[in-house]
Amino acid sequence: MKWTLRDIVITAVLATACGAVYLAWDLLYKFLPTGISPVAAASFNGLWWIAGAIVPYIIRKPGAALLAESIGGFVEFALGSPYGIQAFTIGIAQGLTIEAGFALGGYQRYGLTWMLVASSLGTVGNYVYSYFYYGVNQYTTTEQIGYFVVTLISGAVLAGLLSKWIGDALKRTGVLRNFEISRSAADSR
Amino acid sequence: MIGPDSLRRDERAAGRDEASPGGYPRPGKPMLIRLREVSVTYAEGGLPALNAVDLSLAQHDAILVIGASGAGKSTLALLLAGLIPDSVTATVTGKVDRDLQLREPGAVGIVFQDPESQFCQLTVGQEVAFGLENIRHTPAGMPPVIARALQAAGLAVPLDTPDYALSGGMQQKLALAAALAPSPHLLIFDEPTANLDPESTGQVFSQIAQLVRDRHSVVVIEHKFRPLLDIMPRVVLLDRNGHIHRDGPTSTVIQQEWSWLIGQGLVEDAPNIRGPEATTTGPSRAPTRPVLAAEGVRFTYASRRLERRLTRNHVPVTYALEDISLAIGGGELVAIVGPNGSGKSTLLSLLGGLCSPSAGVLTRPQPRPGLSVPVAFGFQNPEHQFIFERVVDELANRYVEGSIPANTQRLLETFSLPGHAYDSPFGLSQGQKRRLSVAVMIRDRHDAYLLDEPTFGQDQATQRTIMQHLQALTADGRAVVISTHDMDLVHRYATRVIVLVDGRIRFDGTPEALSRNAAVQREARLTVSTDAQSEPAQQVLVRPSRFIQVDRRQALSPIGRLNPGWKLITTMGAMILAMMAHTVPQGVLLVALPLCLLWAGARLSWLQIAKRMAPFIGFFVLYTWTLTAYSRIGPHTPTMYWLWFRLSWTGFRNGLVLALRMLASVAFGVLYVSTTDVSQLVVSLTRNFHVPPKFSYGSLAGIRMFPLFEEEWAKIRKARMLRGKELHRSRWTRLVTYALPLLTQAIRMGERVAVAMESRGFRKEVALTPEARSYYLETPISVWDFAYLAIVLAASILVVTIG
Repeated sequence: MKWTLRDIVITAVLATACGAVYLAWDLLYKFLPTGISPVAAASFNGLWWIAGAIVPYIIRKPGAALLAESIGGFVEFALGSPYGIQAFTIGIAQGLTIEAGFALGGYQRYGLTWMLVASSLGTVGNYVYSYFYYGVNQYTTTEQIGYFVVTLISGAVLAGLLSKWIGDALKRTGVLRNFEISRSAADSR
Repeated sequence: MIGPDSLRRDERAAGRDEASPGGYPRPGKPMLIRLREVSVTYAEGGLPALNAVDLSLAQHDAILVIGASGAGKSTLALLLAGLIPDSVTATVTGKVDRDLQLREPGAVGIVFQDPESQFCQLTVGQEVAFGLENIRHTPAGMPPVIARALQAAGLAVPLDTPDYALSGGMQQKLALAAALAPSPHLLIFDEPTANLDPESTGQVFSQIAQLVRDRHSVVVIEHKFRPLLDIMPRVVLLDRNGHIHRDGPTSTVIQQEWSWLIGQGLVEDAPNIRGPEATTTGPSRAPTRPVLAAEGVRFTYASRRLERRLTRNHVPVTYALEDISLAIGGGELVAIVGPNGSGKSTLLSLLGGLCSPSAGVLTRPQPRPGLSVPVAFGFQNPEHQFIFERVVDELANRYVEGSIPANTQRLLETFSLPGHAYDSPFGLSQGQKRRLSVAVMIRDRHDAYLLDEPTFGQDQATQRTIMQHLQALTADGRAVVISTHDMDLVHRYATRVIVLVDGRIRFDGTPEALSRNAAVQREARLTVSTDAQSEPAQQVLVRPSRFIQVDRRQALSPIGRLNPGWKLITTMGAMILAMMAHTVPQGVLLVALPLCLLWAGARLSWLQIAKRMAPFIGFFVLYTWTLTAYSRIGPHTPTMYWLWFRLSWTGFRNGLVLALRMLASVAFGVLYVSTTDVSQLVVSLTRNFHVPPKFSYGSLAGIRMFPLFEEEWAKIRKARMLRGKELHRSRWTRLVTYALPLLTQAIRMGERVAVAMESRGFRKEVALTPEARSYYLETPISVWDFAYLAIVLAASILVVTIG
């Protein structure tokens, strides 16, 4: 369960790539659904914590989700995210709640179900943060519930399912031979 | 920790000062490493990479290691460097005796193949200092050692040059300087010139020659070993099973084992003479109607608009290619050669239709029935071309269900890939990947085939396979154009050679005519010379990257000099307080605070501030709108209903406050990014906040690869443009076709970086405890850090409590 330097560098590499994706997503988000309805906009949310799902799926060490989301958020911020330093802090919030999900699985469970559950837990961090910072508290109760549920699904699909898909494809290429994902093959149901 | 270890480090640090550049040889035990019956296996149950190897390495030895691809050369290098099995997981059997002094950090220096993936810092100075930090060299004593190491490696650039701005050859010199700085007892070169052009190769070889003359202990693994035969007194031959075939004095061994070298595909039996196959398809064949033609073609990477504006203002435009006129007919095998950056790849891209000329006329064959893609293009990195997840799909160009089609089976056999049909293309060896990409290219009929460095990094056997297939195409009347650095290859296979220098055609004729033209050869630097006199221009490339560098003026401003860690805490504190703003005036004041700090504390002009804040205005509007339309409102608020929105003044006001809060935290973010150097932040996290070095430095090593991602991404996009037409079937595989090449490459590079960092002494205690290493960069905490914290937080509190 100890972090090797290799694990850390790969975490940073993947999180940096995700950070760039986050920035692109920030800009796309600006033009697409926000002006229409906050509930529709929530369907975008999940992708913003994909680093917190794909990195733990590959590295499988305690703290992977938190570290990945912190670095991803920091890179997004440093690249000039329109959310400024909030991109970094919300990343930490989301990373913390996904981390809780993987911790609940004892850092042993990385099957499809658990990936979906842990990734959707990013919603909690996102919701709490957005409630105070992004004005979610101003919405009506129905809209708040809608926002939460849509975010939950978005997290499970855009973070969880996508991560598992990319992670498995990467594993098939053989480049992940030296990582936990290839060692604990039996657990990835 | 005071102990024998740290004492020895001090001895070495002291001894370094009176030594010559590089700092040794020093007296000591003559034997450095002895291997007895050593085997190394990577995968469980797999074949050993090294097989029962016996080897001893004494001080002042200079050994050249030769072997085919997959003979275990790199494994031997990693084993000698002490990186197997700790840093690189593998099973080692047999006996490895290693002199005690080799176990210290920095005692073995290693220069790897890929220049991009062995660095972990941002600038030349920091990079060389990294190894010194790991042996706890005193920070005050570092600058002279760094200067000496750079001088010994022949690299003369300012210390604050970003290392990604160096050319490949200069990066290898930097790697050498970084390896030399801690005064290693043994230096290992693992194919240091594999990614370099002939000129840079010559530079690296002349450095190696100098090290050998200075009696350093050196092990060199090299593909292009010919020029090294005169330099290295001892040679070790590895066979394909990872077994040592022969070990002895270079001249004797090479003389006696020449036929073995031919058999292993390490040398061609008739060097520098074109094979009989080539002469039959040579220039004697009358050139047919040209397939590709260019007339007065010019190309610049600047956009049309920029080009027009520059010309209007009489600013010279830099052209990547200028005055290019040529005609290439069917049956020709044309090689484009020239120094790095001379425009070879650009010319190929133009001919391939990847970009269009800025001026001039370019004639390319047009698509016609039965030939939808008349010109095929092969990228330097074969992975960029792969769009499927299995070899068989790649060859069939569709997802194969059931049995393998007959023609696909034939391709598998022709390119010696049977048994790999269901493997991932990305998991193949370098040679297999290249063969696969060529197989994909020649599967369908095209009029012309363009290949960017098709033999790059391949062993002789794969080179021969590829070139023979290309020759067969020319015999069939098609045109083949390749770019290459390998002059042997040109002489052996090409019917015509075009020499590019600075974007212009300097020579166009037969290889024979070129070999008689010494002036062109010299000008285009086509020969590998180990002559150290030919000192090249040390040109620094400009590769723009947005987020890694801080302007000097901002770095030296009052806020720029603050401790990066504490500054981050202050910034986050201000952001939390900004949340408490509830009125518009509060919001305005909170935005004004960081803007004033940007002006007064970070010395940005108001124009610069406006430019940096401008991208965020759209978001400001968006936030205001969202709440205007959606805010939860009381029963008596005047509301306007429009479509499904309910617009209200209360909502507008709430939206404005939220948008101002956001703007405040964005402005604080801009303030932080404009004044903070990432490497300073990393050092501060470790020194001031006790983050284990492996986490902070490991993260930096990953983040710094960002500019490389951008380049990779651009290349993959180009490759997709070409195959895009064939891709309409499966939209969903497209994501995979982008993500996989990018991520596999990133993961491989990341792994190499981690190994390179450990090879420079960044392991065990050094990587775990901040106090176990020293630091080149200062990140002191001063009273000003707390003053800044107090001022910013007090001002924010004041704003949110009044009003």
